[in-house]
Amino acid sequence: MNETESETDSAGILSDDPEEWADWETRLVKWSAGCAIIAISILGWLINSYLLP
Amino acid sequence: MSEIKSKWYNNLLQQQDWWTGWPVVLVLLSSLLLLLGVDMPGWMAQPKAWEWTDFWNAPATDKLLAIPHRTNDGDGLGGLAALLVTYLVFAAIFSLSAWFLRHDIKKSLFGFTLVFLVGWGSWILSHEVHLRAVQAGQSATLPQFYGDDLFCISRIEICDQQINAALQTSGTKLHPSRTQAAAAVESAPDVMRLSWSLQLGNGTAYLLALLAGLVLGRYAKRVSAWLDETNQADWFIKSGIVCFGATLGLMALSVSRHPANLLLTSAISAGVVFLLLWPALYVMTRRLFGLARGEAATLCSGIAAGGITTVLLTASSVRIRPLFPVLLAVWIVIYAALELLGLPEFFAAMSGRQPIVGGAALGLTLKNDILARAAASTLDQMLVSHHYRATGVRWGTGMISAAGDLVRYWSVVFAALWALLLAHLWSRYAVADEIETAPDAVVTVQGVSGYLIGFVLLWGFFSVMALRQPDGMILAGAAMIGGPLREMLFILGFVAVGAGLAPGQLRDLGKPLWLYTIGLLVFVPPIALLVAYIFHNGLFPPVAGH
Repeated sequence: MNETESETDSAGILSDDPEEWADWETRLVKWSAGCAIIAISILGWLINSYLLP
Repeated sequence: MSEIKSKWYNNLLQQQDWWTGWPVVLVLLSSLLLLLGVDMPGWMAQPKAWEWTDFWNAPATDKLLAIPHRTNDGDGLGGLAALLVTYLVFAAIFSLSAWFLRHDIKKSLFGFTLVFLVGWGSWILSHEVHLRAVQAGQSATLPQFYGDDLFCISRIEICDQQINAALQTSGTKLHPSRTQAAAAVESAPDVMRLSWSLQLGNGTAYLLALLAGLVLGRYAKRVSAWLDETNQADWFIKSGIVCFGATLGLMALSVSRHPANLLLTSAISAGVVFLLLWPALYVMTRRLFGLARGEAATLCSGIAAGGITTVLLTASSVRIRPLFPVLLAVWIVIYAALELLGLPEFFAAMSGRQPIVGGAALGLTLKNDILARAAASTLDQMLVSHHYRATGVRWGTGMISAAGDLVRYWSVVFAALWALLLAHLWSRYAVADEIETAPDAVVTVQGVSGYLIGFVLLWGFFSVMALRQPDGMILAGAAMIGGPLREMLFILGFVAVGAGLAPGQLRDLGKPLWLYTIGLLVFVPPIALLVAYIFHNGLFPPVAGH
């Protein structure tokens, strides 16, 4: 096998066949964004009221 | 699969993931021996900064290799002997690992030796000052006093300390005279005058290692096949991740010295930014741009928290091969060096009269620790100098850059915890698709591999030790494990990845690198500024004088 063939045949860096979106990914994304929004609202208010000058 | 269900510990000694964790035993043992006063990590060799004309005029290995810290008194190993000991120790561990994994020991050892030589060659070359030295903040902000050619050959905070100490001794306030500045620079051993530098920081070594690996793979195809066969890249990188636990432990010590309010606000800011950015980017990269789960997760952690180790840790947790994270890490280095050129000015302009907001936003945006420190130091001196000129009030230097350091630390901590969560989710859901009926506990044990357990153990051990104010030897040992040892293992991993890389594969890289760049340009700065403002507005550096 020559070099060009070897390069063409080599596996790509990225997966050829991305998986279907799954329910647990939806839950992960929702929990993460939800925690961030709650933290920015509640902790933002607390920090600005009691900690920051 | 039923075997996995009934006896998860079966063939543990033959599993690559667990063998990547066995060097941990050595690292943990050496860490525990530090408690008894035995400095095992002290034997390790490490390169030091050198300048090519100086070396060319009088070549000597002492100019390239540092004397191991346990032998600073001069009656122990020299740099070259320490390098030989380092090779022998790791060759022995590697051969033992290959034997248990039933690989061909001769081929594995030969492959390891080549990777070691090429990796160390790249690492030493990367310490040439024109490649890695970053511009000192004094030079960037006050070139009229210091000149614009001051570069720091070690960590930027050390250079700052050296210059500030010299200025204090001479009784200088904020702006020294040219003579005072020249004298301060003269007495700072880690500061050099250079006509130019690429300012790649410690990332230079990874870039050179990947390139050297590419050359090795191109001209020694049989070797690259052996490396692939024995999965050496994975071994090195996962072992390096274990050592990262010591880095985080040491960082815990340095951040614990900051004021409690800044600690709290920086932790919340970093957590909020990470939890906001990661899901938004994950949905975008998966659903709009069609990346696979593992690559999307790695890319999102790279954008949201950044750092070479963070990317490698996330990629290992979601079980993708090291090729993608290694190439992404090299892009992180190059991109961060480009950001260094304009980011301090950008945040100085955007943060208005809120200096701590600027420092925190900068720390949330720049994704390389060394370069982030350099940028934060420049921003610190820029804002202090502007404020002094505008009001005549002199802020103390250090707090603005500390805000940047703290959010960087917490970003890395959140990314590391997130990687552990992803490791669990991947083993429970992504891998469990194939192991449909496996009990949860079993899947978790199989998924959370030896190297992750080692990483968590080391993180906990050194955090506790560091916070209990240990003696100098434990700190020095942790610094060696979390610093040069980790760097060396990653560099060897980058060489092994480069050796297996065909240039044709790089065509795939366009989309993720483009996404990384857009993510950092479009998403990160506004969210970083907003969150930094919410949690840091109204905080100012202490007044140091008038």
